[in-house]
Amino acid sequence: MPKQYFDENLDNNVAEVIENGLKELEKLGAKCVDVELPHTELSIPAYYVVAPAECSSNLSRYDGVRFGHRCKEPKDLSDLYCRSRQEGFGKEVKRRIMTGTYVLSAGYYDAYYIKAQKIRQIISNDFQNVFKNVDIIAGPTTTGVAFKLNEKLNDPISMYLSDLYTVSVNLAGLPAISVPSGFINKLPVGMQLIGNYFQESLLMNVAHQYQKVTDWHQKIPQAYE
Amino acid sequence: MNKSMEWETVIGLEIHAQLATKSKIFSGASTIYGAKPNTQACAVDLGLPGVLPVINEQAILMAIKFGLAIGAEIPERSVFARKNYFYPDLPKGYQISQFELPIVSNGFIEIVIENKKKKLIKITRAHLEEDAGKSNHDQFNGCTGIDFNRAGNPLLEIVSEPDMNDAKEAISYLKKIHSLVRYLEICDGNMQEGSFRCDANVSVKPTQQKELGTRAEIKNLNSFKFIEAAINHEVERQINLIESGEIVTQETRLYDAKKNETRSMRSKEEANDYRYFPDPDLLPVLITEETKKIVRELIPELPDAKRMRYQNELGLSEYDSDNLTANPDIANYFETTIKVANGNAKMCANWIMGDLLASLNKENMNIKNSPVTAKMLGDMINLIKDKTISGKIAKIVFEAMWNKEGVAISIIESKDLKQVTDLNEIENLIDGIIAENTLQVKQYKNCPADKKQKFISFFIGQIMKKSKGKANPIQVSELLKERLNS
Repeated sequence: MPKQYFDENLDNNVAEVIENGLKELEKLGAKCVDVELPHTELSIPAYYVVAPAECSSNLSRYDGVRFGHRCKEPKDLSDLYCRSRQEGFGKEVKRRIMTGTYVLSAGYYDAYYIKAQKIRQIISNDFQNVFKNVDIIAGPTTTGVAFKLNEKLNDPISMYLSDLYTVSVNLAGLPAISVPSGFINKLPVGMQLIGNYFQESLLMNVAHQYQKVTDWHQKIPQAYE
Repeated sequence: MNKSMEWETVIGLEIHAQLATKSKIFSGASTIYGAKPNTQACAVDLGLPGVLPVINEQAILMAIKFGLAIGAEIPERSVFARKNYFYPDLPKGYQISQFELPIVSNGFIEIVIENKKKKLIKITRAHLEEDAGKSNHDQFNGCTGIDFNRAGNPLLEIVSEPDMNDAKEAISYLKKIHSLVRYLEICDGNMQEGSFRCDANVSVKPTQQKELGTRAEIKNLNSFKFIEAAINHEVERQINLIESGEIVTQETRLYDAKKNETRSMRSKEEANDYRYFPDPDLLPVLITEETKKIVRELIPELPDAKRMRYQNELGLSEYDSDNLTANPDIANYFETTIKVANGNAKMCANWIMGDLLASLNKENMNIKNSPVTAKMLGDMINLIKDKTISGKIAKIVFEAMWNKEGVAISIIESKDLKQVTDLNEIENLIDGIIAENTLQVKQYKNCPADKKQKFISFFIGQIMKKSKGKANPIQVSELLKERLNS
């Protein structure tokens, strides 16, 4: 259990659900210990440099030339590109393309992209230190339960922060699984299990053992019944 | 600016050599040239969403081979990067290339410049990248068609230092690299098909000045002739600009072969910010000492070494050696021929550079497809050497072989071309000619010594004609002189 995953960002009710989940694992014979992932907080800013950078480049192919949306009656090539992309992409996607293009631009690349890649390495090292002593890292998947559709559209930072516990795993390139562990106000809560590189089978086994003694994964959130 | 100022030209070249792999650099699609548009472009080449590139190992090995051949460093770790820009024939909106950690760096090659002086040209780097598709602006009436068959073809971009000082040096360097990549069998060197293309960075500066002048990059150069013309034209343009008080702007210029001029394509301000970053879809390439060792063993004898061997061991002239070694296919042909002909290097060289290349050029054919094989030519040379035929008759035999009438020995049989070396037969021929030309014989006997050779040549000509060229000319000459002077 990483201390940094049970900090002030975590909703108290979610914390309680996860602690119950961990008790189930202990009953099954797991030994729970506290571990440190000291650079967890850096994962959000690092991730939101690296991911938009890749995204800005990955989405370049949607230019209206071969597939996807193409604007009507383009004046010229530049107009085809600009309007097809302006009309076809949503707000959050455009935000990420803009951010990503910026962090890769001449003069900003070292300050943003390279720095973020260095942080990525530090985060990955944190995990490796922990895996010297444990088999699986367990904690919450998100900081709170699902927010309403479009609720955070104009507050992207708060939306990005809810990814705090998952993006560090992505930055480190580790396998992880989220297993249903309870409900808060009829909304589901997931417990995240993280394994070391190439330990997917161990991860699946632990998740499976947990689901053999719990039935959260068989309960459907009320709104979807 | 002082008009009488001495100018120095500075040239650096970027060569794009298409690597001779069977499949593309990041996909399994074929690289064969000339297929119907868009029949050799798979999902990866088209950049369809969700596809991932997989590096072609052959492309890596070919790049290493080139690096080793130019004495370059092959770093342990090499990284692919994305070069981001929008263009309709660039399907992903980025080109997979290399930026910070290219597969080859710091090599060099020696060229021969004026007065047979040697000069080292440094090669900054060579990196792997994928080719883009091809836009066709002419065929679709107001629309542009795109052929993605070329997209994803493996390219090795070879970047030189600005070490060349005139168009001739640039051509010499280009030809050297062109020859090298073909020897290494990593590129077919076909310039018409675009397998070997070049961009030239050209600037001028007063000879005394240390700093380089502002450069222009000339693109679209695909023949040695155009490259030389384009560089010369560009140098003149820049000098004229400066001498008339204007400045050279940093820009990309396109060469128009029809008008023999370069024109501006885009200025530095319009240049793209390519936003290079390591391609997250591809792992860094790790190259071990073991791999380098294996590749090193695959490097054949290279042109410089071959040229020296032809001069020192085979006794050929510098001119012959240069001509025979420039193209590896010709060198291979030559070496097979001398093997069959048990040496006779000079005679083999003459036949190849003379009749054979002339016939090939006339029909615009590659020596690999020559109807006269190296074995056939070698056998024929043996027949000249053992006096079965004369060198003159051999020309007839060669032409018949070229026209696929068979091998030398059977042509000699069927056309009855065997050289007459029987002394009695030659004596009979001489008798006949002397009897037919009594007047000339009399004139010969009475004329001064310095006029006699004229008559000898006449008699030999008559005898050779009568024998249909088959009489051994040396024997004829000796016996004739004996007879006339007796």
